[in-house]
This record gives sequence, structure tokens and C-alpha cells, in this order.
Amino acid sequence: MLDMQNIAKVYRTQLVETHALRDLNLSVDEGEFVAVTGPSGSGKTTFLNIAGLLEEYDGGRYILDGKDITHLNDRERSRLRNEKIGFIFQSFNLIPDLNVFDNVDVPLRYRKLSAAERKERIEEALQTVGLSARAKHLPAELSGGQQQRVAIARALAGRPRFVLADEPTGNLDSLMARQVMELLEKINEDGVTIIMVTHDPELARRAHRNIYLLDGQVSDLETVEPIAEPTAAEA
Amino acid sequence: MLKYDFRLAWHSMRRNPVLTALMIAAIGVGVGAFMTALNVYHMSSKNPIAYKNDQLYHVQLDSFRIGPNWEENREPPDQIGYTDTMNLLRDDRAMKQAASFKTGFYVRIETEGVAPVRAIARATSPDFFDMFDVPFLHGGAWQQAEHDVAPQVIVLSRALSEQLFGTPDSVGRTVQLDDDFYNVVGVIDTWDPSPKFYDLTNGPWLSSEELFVPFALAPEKEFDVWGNTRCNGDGGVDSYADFLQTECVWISYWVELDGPGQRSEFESYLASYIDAQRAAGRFEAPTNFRLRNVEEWLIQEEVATDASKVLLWLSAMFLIVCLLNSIGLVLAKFMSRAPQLALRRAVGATRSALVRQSLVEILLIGVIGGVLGMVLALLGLEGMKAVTGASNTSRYEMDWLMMATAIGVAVIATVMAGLYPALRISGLAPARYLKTQ
Repeated sequence: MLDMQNIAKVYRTQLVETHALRDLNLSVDEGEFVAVTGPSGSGKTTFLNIAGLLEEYDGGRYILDGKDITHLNDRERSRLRNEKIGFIFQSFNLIPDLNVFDNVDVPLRYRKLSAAERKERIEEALQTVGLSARAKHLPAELSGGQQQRVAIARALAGRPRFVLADEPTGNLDSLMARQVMELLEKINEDGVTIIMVTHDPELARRAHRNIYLLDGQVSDLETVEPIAEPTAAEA
Repeated sequence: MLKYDFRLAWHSMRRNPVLTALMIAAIGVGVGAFMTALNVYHMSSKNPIAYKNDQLYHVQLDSFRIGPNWEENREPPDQIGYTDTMNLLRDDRAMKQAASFKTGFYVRIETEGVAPVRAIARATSPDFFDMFDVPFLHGGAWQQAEHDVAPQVIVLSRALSEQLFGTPDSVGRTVQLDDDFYNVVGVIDTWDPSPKFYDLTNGPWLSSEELFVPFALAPEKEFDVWGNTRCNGDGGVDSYADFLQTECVWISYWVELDGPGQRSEFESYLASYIDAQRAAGRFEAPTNFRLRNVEEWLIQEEVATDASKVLLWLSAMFLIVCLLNSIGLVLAKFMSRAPQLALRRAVGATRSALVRQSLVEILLIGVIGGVLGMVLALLGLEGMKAVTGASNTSRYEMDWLMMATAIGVAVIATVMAGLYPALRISGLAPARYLKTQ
């Protein structure tokens, strides 16, 4: 599904050269739920941006869904983002003057779908996140948890192959964070691959696999044990 | 997608109403000033009878003596004298020919209660009406078999006919011009070519005359010359008949030719005419004449003045200053929604889609700015009309072409002002703006 080989990313200013990623090697299989953790400055966000084709990389090879994206032009990369990737951000990134329906509609607008098909997909996505009744509300009229669910609906409306979530619960209280996490798990059960960057070890434990980044590389120094499947007796 | 872009543009404009209003105002004021100046220039340099430009020619002959400041091939006088006028009329070498000069009368009618009117008139040969496509409302031009014999008739303007008789149809009625009575044979509809190309001697922005009398009656009726008269060494004269014999020039002379092909033929005729006159003791200077079509004549007479050109340049500079300000405003507006555009990039918008979205918004602002500019230009023209107090105000009026140009200038100007910000905002790295909003 996602295969990164020796990916390198360097940020340069006139005075400083910062190696955000150094020969990063990482593979994610279809249907996986992967949590990416690591200290601040370890390269988590850079990794996510490169994985989501939002940023160029300086070296290495990146194959997404069987396609080498190294030499893709802007139009091809945009199309890949639109059709295969769903984004969930810590700060929701909803457009404040568009209502819930129109916010979920944003990615579909760049896919040349008919109005009827867009409507069907939006309604389905809002139903999945439990916000069908709030379709005409503006983001400011929703709670933080609801706003993040709108963002998830926006990611799902495009029926992506995988979702990239950057601290999706970072701005939420524990109750809302749990609801959002449960929603992500449900989406994953439906076959969508999820890569989630998080600082929260509790959330990371709920992923199938944990990847710990340190100094721009995958490290085996620290891992978070996944939560064990409950036994029949515990259940 | 374009409909969606317009919807987003409308949302964006409403999101920052103050910034949007400032941008529209900057564009509107710049376009308004530019269009005011451009309109004056456009109307000043407009040829009101462009469709006959290659048929109508203005005749100038250098019949003046060689004085101390004589220069070879000097610009001949704008008008010609009576002797040459009658000779050219009699030779009849053009398809049509119109000799005319400005005069005036006290106009009376027999009906009681109608006060005498002082009217500006034109004494002209009958081809004048046909050559310059003067529109007749009732009747027509007078007929005359000889160039120096004409009936005692008159053609009125619609306005004067209504003023005197209370109706535009006064054909057959009698009018007293000073001491003589004339029959009305025609009434023309409103006709006010601007600039007044057929006689620029008193200025190009005067209104057309209110009545027309036969030129052939001038010697007998001794019509006053209300236009320019220029003499060259002719001393005082005792009578109108003596005046007609001088080399003074006071008559505008136009010919209608069968296209540019006949122009050289007529020029040859003028050259041979001057040679013949020189042989007879006139035309002291070497053969020198001009035959100009309407456009060449308007350029020669500098109808579009240097002042209007300077005004145009200054307003263009002002428009550029407004545009530079607009670039800053557009950039500020676009940068304020960088996170939203980054989000759109993330979910699949191409760079060109964002450029298009931004340009649609700019286009909308440009159209609104253009309409505002047009309104300001109309107000500016009204202001100029009031300040100058001109009798013929057509150059201070805006035609459809200028209105469309105002919108076009505004749209082009705003797209120019918005292109750099649009390209810049679409090229920003989305990742930088997605972490925080």
C-alpha cells in the first residue's frame, strides 16, 4: 500500500540545515492501522506530509498503491490525493463560512462527480459520523468533537484507500477523543488503511502497529505495546 | 466548476467586506478617472462621419500673397474666398460640392405672440445636406439649377421649427429673416455632429446651426459672415460686392468624390486650376493646396488637443497607482485565507484550480469595480460639462463602446493586479498552513 525507501528530507535556511528525515524506510500494508509516535522534532509531521504528497522529499523512493510518485506532476499528485488519501488534522481545518454539507463537499468538487452522486456520498459520510442532522450548521455552531467528525466525514466522502490523521484528538477532551478514536477504528474495520500521528500512548496502543520515529528515522528504541485483544472470559 | 468558483468568490468577498470594499474602491476610482479622460479623448478624436471618410474631402487653396514670412509649402488657409468658391462650383469637377459659411438672423413669423429669435444659420449650397447625410424630418433641400441663382427658401432645424410654429412640420410656412421673407422647404431632425467637422473655424464643439439658407443668395441678400474671416493684404472695402472680390477667405469648401481613386484626379484639377488662376494674375505663391479627408482634417486641426492627451496620460498613471495598491490589497486578502487554500490543495485541488478560483474572485471584484468606475466616470463627465459650460456636450457623454471599455479596463486591470497574488498563493506549500488554522 505504502512503501518508503530511504526517504530523506532536509530543510535549509541560509544558516541552518535540518535533516527532518534520514533514510526513512517504512511499509504499510492495506488495511493496517498504524500509529506513528516520537518526540517533538522527530519528523512525524514531515513523514505525514510526504506520505500525503503535501511535501516533496529530497532523496529515496516512495511508492503509493503501486505507483512511484517521484516523478509525478502537480496534476497527478493532486489526483492521487483526491482519490486515494483522506486527511484528518488536529485543528480540523474546516472552512468557517461553509456549512457542514459544503465542507464535506470540498474534496468531491475536484472529482467531477454529478451533483446527485456528491449528495449521496456526503449524506452517507455524515451518517457514518452521526452528523446527518447538522448538515446545515456552520462549524462555529458545533463542538470540537463534532467539528472533528465533520473533518472525518470530509475525509471519508472521497472513499479513500487510506487516511492520514495528524494528532486527530489533540484538540479534544478525553470523551470526545475516545469517540473519534472509535470512529477511526470503525473506518479501519471497513478496510481503510489508517496512519495516525499521535503523542498519546493510549491511542497508539489501540493501533495494529506502532512506529517510533527518532531523529528522522524509524527507531526500535521505544515501542508502544498494542492493547491485547480481550479474551473470551474478559469479554 | 466555474459556478462553484463564483460561489466561493462571493463567500470570500463577504468574509472580508472592508478589504473587499477597499479593493473595489481602488479599482473604481482608478478606472473612473481613466475612463473620464479616455472618454473625452475618444470623443474628441472621434470622426462623426467615419463611414464616408474616403468620400468627403476638405479643400484648401493658398491664394494669399507671398509676404515677408512666407515659407514654401506653407499650410494654406482653412477656408477659401468667394471667387475661388464660385469657380470651383461652376467647374463642378466633384460628384458633389458644398460651399458654406456661418451667418445669422433675427427670425420672425407673422403669428402674434411669438417673439423674434436670434438664430445662428449656415449659408450653403444644396449638396451640403446630401453630402453630410443631414436627416430630413419633413420636406427636403432646395433645388437650384444655377450655382448663383437660388430660390428664397429656408431649411429649419426641428428645434427652431417647434419654437416658432409649435410643430416640427413647418414646410410651406413663411419665415422672416431680418427684412426678407423665406419659404420653409424642409425641416431637419436633430443633427449635431461632434466634433463639428464641416466647419472647425469657431471651434470643434459648437452646436450645429438652427437654419440653412442658400449660399447663392449671399451676394444679393448680403448675409453677414458670423464665422472667421481672414484677409491677406486686402484693404478696407466699401460694399459687400467689393468684399466678395477680395482674397479674404471665409468659406468652408467640401467635395464628395467617388472614393480615394478620384482623389488624385481632383488634386490634378486643383493644381491646374491654380496654374490657370496664376496665369490670370492671382495666386502669387507657388501652387499649394490641400485636399484632406475628414480624419486627416480633424488631425490637422488638432481636435484632440494636447490637453486631453496629457489628461489621459495622467489618469493612466493614476490608474497604475490604484492598481499597485490593489495588488497589495489582493495579496493581503489572499494570504488571509492561505489555510483554506492549503486545505483545498490537500484534498485534491490542483494549483491551476486555485489560480482559477482566485481569478474568478478577482474578476468579480473587477466587474463591480468597473461598474463603480463607470458611474464615477459619468459623474466626472457631468462635472467637466458643468465646469466648461460647453454648448455641444457630446464629448462629455459616454457611449456604449466606452461603457464596455470601462468594464473591460477594470477587468483587465484587476486581473493584472491579481495574477501575481493568485500565482503566489497557489504556489505556497500547503503543509505549512495545515498544522494551524
